[in-house]
Amino acid sequence: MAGTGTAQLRERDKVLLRVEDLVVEFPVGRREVAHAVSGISFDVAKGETLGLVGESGCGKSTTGRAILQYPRPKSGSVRFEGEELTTLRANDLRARRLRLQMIFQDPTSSLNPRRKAGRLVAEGLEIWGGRTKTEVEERVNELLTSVGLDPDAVRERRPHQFSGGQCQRLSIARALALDPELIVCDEPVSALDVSVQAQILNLLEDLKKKFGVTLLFISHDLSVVKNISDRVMVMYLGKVCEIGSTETVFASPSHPYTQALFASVPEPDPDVDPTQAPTLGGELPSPITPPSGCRFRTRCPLATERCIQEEPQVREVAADHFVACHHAGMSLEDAEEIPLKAAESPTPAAT
Amino acid sequence: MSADERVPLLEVEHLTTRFATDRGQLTAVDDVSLTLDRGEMLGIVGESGSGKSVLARTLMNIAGANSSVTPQTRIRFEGRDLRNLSKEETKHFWGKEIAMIFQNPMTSLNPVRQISRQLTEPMRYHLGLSKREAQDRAVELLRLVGISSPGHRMSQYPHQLSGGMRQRVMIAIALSCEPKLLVADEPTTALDVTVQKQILDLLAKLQDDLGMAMILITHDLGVVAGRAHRIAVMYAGQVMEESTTKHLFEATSHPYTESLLKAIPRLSQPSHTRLAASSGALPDLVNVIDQCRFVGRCPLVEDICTATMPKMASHRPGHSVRCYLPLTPATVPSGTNEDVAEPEKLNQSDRSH
Amino acid sequence: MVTLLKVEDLDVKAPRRVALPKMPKIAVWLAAFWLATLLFVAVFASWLPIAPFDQPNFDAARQGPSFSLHEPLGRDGLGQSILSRLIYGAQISLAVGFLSVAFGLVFGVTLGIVAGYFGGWIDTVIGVFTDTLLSIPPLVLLLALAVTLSPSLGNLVISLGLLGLPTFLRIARANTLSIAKREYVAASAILGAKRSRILLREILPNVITPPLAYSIEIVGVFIVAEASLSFLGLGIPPPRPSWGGMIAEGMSDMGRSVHIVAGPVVVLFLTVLALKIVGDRFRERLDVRERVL
Repeated sequence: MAGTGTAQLRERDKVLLRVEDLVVEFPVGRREVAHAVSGISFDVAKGETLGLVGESGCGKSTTGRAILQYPRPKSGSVRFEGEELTTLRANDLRARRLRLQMIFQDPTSSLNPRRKAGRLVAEGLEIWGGRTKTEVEERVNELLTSVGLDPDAVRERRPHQFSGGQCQRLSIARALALDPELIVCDEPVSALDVSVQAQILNLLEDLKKKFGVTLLFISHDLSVVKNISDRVMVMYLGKVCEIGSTETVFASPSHPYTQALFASVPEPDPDVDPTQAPTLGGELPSPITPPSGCRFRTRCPLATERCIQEEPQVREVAADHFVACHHAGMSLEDAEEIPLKAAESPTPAAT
Repeated sequence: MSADERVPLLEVEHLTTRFATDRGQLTAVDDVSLTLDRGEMLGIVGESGSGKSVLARTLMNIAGANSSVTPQTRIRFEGRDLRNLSKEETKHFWGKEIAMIFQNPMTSLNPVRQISRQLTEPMRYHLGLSKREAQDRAVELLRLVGISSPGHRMSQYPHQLSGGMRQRVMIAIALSCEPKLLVADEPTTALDVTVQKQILDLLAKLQDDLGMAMILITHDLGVVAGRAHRIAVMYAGQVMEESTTKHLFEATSHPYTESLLKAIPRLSQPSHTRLAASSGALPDLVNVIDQCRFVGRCPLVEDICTATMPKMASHRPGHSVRCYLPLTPATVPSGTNEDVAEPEKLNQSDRSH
Repeated sequence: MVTLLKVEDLDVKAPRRVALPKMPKIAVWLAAFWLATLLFVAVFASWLPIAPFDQPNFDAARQGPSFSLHEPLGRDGLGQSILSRLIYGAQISLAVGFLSVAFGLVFGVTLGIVAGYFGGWIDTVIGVFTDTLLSIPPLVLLLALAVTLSPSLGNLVISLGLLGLPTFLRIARANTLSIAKREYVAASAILGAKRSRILLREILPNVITPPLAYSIEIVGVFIVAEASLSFLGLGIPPPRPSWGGMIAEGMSDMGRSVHIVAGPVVVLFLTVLALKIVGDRFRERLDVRERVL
């Protein structure tokens, strides 16, 4: 099955992470397979924040974990600091873990409930050793302070004694302990209240500046992604729809799905009438039998015969702005109607 | 105008709900007063711990076995006192006159019952319809809420439907007895944003078509901004500000509302905009102190704020605030009070203990 | 002192369940006291001023039960001291009870974690093993083992241990399956932890609590099992006394010598009841801790 193309990739040695034609599949039941990620390519430069955005089932979280080889993807290339991760042996891969870390969505379940906060943050340091007890303690204090927690108040407490925001700070401290180059953030603020979310986003920005860490920020929340990312990639059902710099993608979204997505975000502005914005109809197709050609065609008001037959490849539409659509640049408003296609056959007629 | 139309549909006065916990009585909702007219949509906005869900459940009489409501609480629906319904009246009130939809459709629908059963049951119970009549009406309802091939769906089970479809089924069940008021507790929080828009548009349309009033509870100000007539903002069990939607955004009066608005990242902002984050923990709701609940986080605290609890007062026509120093354009704080240190260090606001 | 109030606590959703009446504290204390006493006399039996358990005294036997200050529980058919036999019997019962539970717990939990964590063919093989054990009726299994193996303490422990193993295994496996999916396990692996570390430090501590909670009650079950085997003559062979054996001995002549049966029956009953009470309380305490976590 063809991927969405690689036009969006920049030069090999200019980027920290380079993913090419990534494919991740999960067995469903005995015989079937869910095509969670089907041939996506992107890269992240050092110090950059790439936002991965999409709704449920788009494969963004799966992509994040596949980069960390947890579990290993079915096929495709993941090059980190010039080295291919997918073919590394288990021990070598483990060694690379020092440089690639992750923070998770649910603040409380990402921390072992039986451990004290100090030990949790020190876990990475303890696994890899090489430091004396005092050195570890100092580093833990340093880390706790840099995420805005008072080490003395916090070290001896257990996760259930903290709020969601504080747990997330602990997760971040834990991830930073090993001084990683890249941190994959899997929906880190989705489970937090608005005011706490703002604190954590600001914290991440500060830490980016302080430690020069590169982020892959996965979220379904467009406003959050816009706030924190330098570049953004929109995914749908395992494919790349649109990728480019945050400014250009948000200023002029070219893929119909991106447009529909942006139109659905409820803006806190009383003068905006949400019923005037186009609504995306239909349902998400099953990842077990995804539609042929363009996977978005079953809900796309601009879909034509070509979209059933031929999968669109990513191509450049502006400086640092790439779109995978046969009708890229057309506005949703140009469509004559929002269709609910009756014959939504996921597989093409025999050719 | 008949006498009927002059009486508000729902009148809530001094609603206070308490829960018996190990540490004592916890005041989850404190002195909430609201009115709602026919066909109006009221948005109730609050973060976790604000008491918004408990408020909804108290209205629906499902707050829980260990909950209790103070004697001063008055809830009147079309003039009738809901705290004093006769047993007969209670049986055919909730679910019929007022209906509710919940956040998580998977746990709100019975996973081992077919959709048809779940749809027809309220109609047969409240309206006395026969099985045949109820089923026909159920199919109509499914069509009304935008479910394709409704006949087929009737014999399916919840797990065979997507999240958005399950939510539509829940709406259909809620509407089956043509309630005058629909209470929606975070109905789209668990859904994707594109599906959220579908559901919210659907609710708006149904409200219009059926002349139904609605209370929409959410943590997302964006969801109610373009849809609700009035909004009430809750914090720590109290309503802090209540006004028309326009005034809430354009003449924000309570510092909490202001902090919420400033903390939300927006598509209209450029990327890497610094968000105004405020820190501070919720006050203890068991050992309640007679002071403003927001003192722990408010950038404009003065002595009067810690002296006694402010009451809801009319700040402008149709705009009430629970604050001694409501914001005017001159006093809106420009910076943030972002204090990166955690509550343990904020000694000066430790007064809640 | 600042209390960090967890905001989630405030949105109380479900009504509080009506709690079952708690066991009165005095009962728990009495039960614990009984078990402590039993343990003490069993351990220090040889130092206690009681008669040896295998000293027949035919003269005394001919005179009937012969209760005396020296022998408060009387003598059995062979004139042996019932008190002594009960105490030495306690050694067997407690040893078998605790050791077989320990056996089942250690192997059951280990295999359960291995099956749950690794899955695949390992899980299948362990599953077959467990299902086989479970499909044989317990009594038949015990009888078969008793007949084929020589009746020793070790074999008895292994037989009963194998009986209890599947339960512990299943509980451990189910918990492992759910814990292995938790994000903190993933976090550990991503930090670079080796499998052994993950299994020992992340999974084991969180998985072992439920089986541990039930283990005390299971000790009672196994003590009864041992007594039953001894009753059938398949337990530890004489002259070592055991409670079940004593019941068997005294049964034939119940009319005249009910005291021979009464002793072990009462002691057995009290011990199992005490284990149940203490086990319940233990389980409650662990539950509370779990809920907090």
